Amino acid sequence: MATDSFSDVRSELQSRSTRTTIDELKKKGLDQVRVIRSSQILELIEKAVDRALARRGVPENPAERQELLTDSTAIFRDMLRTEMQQQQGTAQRNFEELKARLEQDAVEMQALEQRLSQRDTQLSEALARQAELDAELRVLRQRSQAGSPQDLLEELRSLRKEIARPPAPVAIAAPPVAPAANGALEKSIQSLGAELASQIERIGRKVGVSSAAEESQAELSGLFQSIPELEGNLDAVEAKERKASDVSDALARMKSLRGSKGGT
Amino acid sequence: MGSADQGNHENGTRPAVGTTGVAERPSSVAKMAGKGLDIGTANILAAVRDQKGGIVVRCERNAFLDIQGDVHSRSMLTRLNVPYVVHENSLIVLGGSAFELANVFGRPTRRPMKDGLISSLEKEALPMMQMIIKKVLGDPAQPNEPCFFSVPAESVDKENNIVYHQGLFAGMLQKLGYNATPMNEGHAVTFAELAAEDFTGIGISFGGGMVNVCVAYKTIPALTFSVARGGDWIDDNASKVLGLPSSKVTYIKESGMDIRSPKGREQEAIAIYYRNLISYTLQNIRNRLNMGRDLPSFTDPVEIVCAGGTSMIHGFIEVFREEVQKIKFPIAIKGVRLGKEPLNSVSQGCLVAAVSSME
Repeated sequence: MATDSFSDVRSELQSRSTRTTIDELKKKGLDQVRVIRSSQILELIEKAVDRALARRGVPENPAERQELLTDSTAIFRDMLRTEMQQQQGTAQRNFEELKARLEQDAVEMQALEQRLSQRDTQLSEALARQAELDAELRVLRQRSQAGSPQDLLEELRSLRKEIARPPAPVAIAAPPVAPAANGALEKSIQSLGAELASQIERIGRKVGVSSAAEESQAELSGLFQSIPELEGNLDAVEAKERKASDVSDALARMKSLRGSKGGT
Repeated sequence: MGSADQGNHENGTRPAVGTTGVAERPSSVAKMAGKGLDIGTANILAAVRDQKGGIVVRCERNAFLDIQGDVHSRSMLTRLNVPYVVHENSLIVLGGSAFELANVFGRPTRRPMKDGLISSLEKEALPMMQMIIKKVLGDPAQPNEPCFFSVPAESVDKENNIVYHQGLFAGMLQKLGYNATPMNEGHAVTFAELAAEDFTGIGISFGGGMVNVCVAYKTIPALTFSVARGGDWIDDNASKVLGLPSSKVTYIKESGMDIRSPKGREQEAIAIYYRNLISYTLQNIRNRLNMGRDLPSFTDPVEIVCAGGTSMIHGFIEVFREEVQKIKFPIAIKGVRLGKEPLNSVSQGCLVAAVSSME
């Protein structure tokens, strides 16, 4: 009897309500929802019980009615509690899974940062070596022909080999890194290495040493011997000229600087 | 042409009075020699000292235009003081007049240089540049007269062959009778503008084809490099978005607009590209300075001086200062200023170097 009554109560509730999530409501563009109070639910239960009793021709004995009502309410509350416990359990499980995933990601991130930091250090060292080499090459170039270009070429080659050498294994045990991230990192390091090699080659070309044959100093004044004297009015046309600011201060300062340099 | 230099010869035995009012020794004939030449993508300028020790700058646009002409046209051009040469049955108008005519005829000028270097696209580039250089420089005041000429530095953002460019103009000047010495464009700016700071600081030349930068310490260039963008880059990009010839955009740019308060669509486009150029240049400078292990350790904050024709537009230095504020420079900056005569700075710096080399 009580079960039948509860069934009526539930159908009454189901007919008057729908189940949905907050996300779904948001997707529908709903910012606000109407909330039904528990007292209203109880009132509904009471009304449903009265209607069920009347339909079955049960006399409206107040004591029996109250007993049935209490029974129905208790069953409803039990079912509601069970339902909520199930939902809470699912949410808790989802939360635990998410937490575990985040912890794993954090570990992987830490490992990646560690590797990146090592690569950065190696890159800085390589750049520093390149800058030193750049300065050395400039000095060698200033020394004109005294140095052998072949030596410079060998130096450039050895530097390139050094940069290309794989990094030494690191003592700190790094946690496993996701293969995709590792691949991207390797790719980026390779790209940097290629860029460095290209820059070294460029420096080599600048000073006339590279894998290509040595460039000799071109004598270009001959180019202008073949330019014919063109007919025109340049001698008859005045060049536009204007007074400019004085440079005597600059010349005097230059002279004094040279004088002070010469004295030391 | 060359009257100032001839004057040096004629008055060589007479004591010259400099602008400081101090009478110079009779041997000043040798000191009056020496020239500075700025070989720029947009303009070619020669700085020379006159017989009184003052400075005269001769400027010509680095451009030419071929026009159809007959004998009548030639005499008309001469009467109008328009320089021309006859080449392969065409009249070729040189310099600023070519620019003016191009705007009248709605045609683009032909440019011997591109992106700071001699252009391989113009087969007549060499003879035309030789004509323009000869016109502004004049004849040497004495055999083998020292002439320092500007050359760009290697670009950080583009592969370019500076060696060929430098050798080419050294050869051209030698043929004209000069003892030619190349000088980095940014370095020349520091010579012209940073005397009060003992030639220590950062000189930036905003030219037509490039922006050249030099970090100098007591006249010594510690770091030189260039960015392969300049005034032409602004003109080309603005002309593309506006659907106007590039020379028209140049004309608007040089007609007195202010990049802080552009009026109309054309000026808006120019102002946008100007700010972009300044920002791009500063970012490259910062990156290059960050890399530079050969950068000197400055004990005091340093001055930045901007020069070059592209820096002459109204509002340039204010926008430059705004953009500097956004960049974290690796060295402390004392101030940012525009050169005294931005267009002349490079040629004047070359002149200072040429004269100093004789002392």
